[in-house]
Amino acid sequence: MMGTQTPQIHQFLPVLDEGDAIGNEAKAIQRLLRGAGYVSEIFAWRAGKGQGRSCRHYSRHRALRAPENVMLYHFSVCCPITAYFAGAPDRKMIVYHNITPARFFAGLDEQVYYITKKGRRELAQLANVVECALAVSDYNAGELRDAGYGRVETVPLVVDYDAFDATPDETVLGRYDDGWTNLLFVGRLSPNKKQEDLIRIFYHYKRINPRSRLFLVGSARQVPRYREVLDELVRRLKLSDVVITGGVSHRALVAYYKLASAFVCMSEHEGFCVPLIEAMRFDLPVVAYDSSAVAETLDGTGVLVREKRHAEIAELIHGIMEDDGLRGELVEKQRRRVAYYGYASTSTRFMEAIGSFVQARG
Amino acid sequence: MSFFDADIDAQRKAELEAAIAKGASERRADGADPTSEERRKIGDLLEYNRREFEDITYDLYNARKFVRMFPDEAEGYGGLLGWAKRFYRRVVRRLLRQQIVFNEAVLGVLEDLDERAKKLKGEEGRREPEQK
Repeated sequence: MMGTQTPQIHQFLPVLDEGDAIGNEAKAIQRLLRGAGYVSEIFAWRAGKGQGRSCRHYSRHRALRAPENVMLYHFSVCCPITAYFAGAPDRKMIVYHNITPARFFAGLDEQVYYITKKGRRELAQLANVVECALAVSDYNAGELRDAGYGRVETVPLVVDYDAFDATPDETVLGRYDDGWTNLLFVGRLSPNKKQEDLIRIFYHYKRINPRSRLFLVGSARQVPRYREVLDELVRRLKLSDVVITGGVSHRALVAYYKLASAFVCMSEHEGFCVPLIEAMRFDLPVVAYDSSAVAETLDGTGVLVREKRHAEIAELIHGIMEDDGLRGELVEKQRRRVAYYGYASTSTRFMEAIGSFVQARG
Repeated sequence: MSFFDADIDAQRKAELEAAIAKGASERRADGADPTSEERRKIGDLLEYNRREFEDITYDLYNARKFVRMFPDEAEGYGGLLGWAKRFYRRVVRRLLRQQIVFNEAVLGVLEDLDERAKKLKGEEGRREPEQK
């Protein structure tokens, strides 16, 4: 245990939600910090359902403000916390999770368009306020440097992937465990994630393999109009067996991973893409479009698609599904990537970064 | 050049590429070309990002109409029971918060349009002497 001079390290994030990558990381970091003897709380602008006990409203941090303490802000969207963070006397650090470029939301959601645009402005404003910025990928680190940040370090997301050892939801398993080929994508329904391309690929794949299904797992709350576009696309293509689940519980998510035969990602903007690692952990062959941080996260594993040729991608998936040897070769290499992002390795790297930050002032 | 990268045996990759090309061409030759059929069906549905914010005023109108369902002044709650007053006030507070976020969004978009207009003006200004 550390002495009485140990600074307190508190985390801030816009919303603490169940199943959210940033929320999960904040909880994992809190466990690490407390384990190392730091006093550490999570402060949020809003608490999601059932998360009220895991965090406090950020205004309640006021009593804990002190120049020797550290504020660690998970930055991903504009939020009233930014102004509070900038004005506090504490030492400051951000973890940058990336902001989806506003252009993706044009024509679909004016509010999200504006919020993401404002988020980029807030990010630039914080450049002179924070002492150090952590990026969860080199791609994000590049964006921070472009925004004017001086001290930037890349530290992968601290995620305890062992949480996926949880018992899968029996109802989901019971409904779909029938030997069909299930293509899966996990991520909120959002225009940057391009679920529309997955539906178009599945349109072709269904012709190759009629005993197949597409699971699109993820909340549609952020951009409801995009969900409408996807539903209409499915209708116009007269496609059956496209399952758009909406937000699901952790156990249901585990069930979808267990039911899946392959993970397909056509996203055009990812700051890291945690589901790629989750899918690898379930030994699913990954086929992903080469954009933003996707290639960096895969690092030569899985299959990286450079062009969105839907019919050919469907054939590619079919080729992988039909060839056990090929699938085995892909999965074997993916396991090494999962080990690289394992909790032991990422938590050590995170604590080293925190340790050097705390000691930097002497 | 292949449209995908995978760290797999070169022979296996070549076979896979050949199978993909054969499969795709066979399916196209199978009567209907799935690509043109697909294009016909989805039409302009996926052109959503070309839309501008033409319906902002409509959304704003709706938001205001919704807020006005409830009285603005304290006297407006005169004849209501205590629980109903508290309920309406809570709803009004929530709607007003949404209205504030919405207003900010509209202002943000207007700022962007301004910026875009300035940029276009600048470009036009630069182009003019060349045309002469």
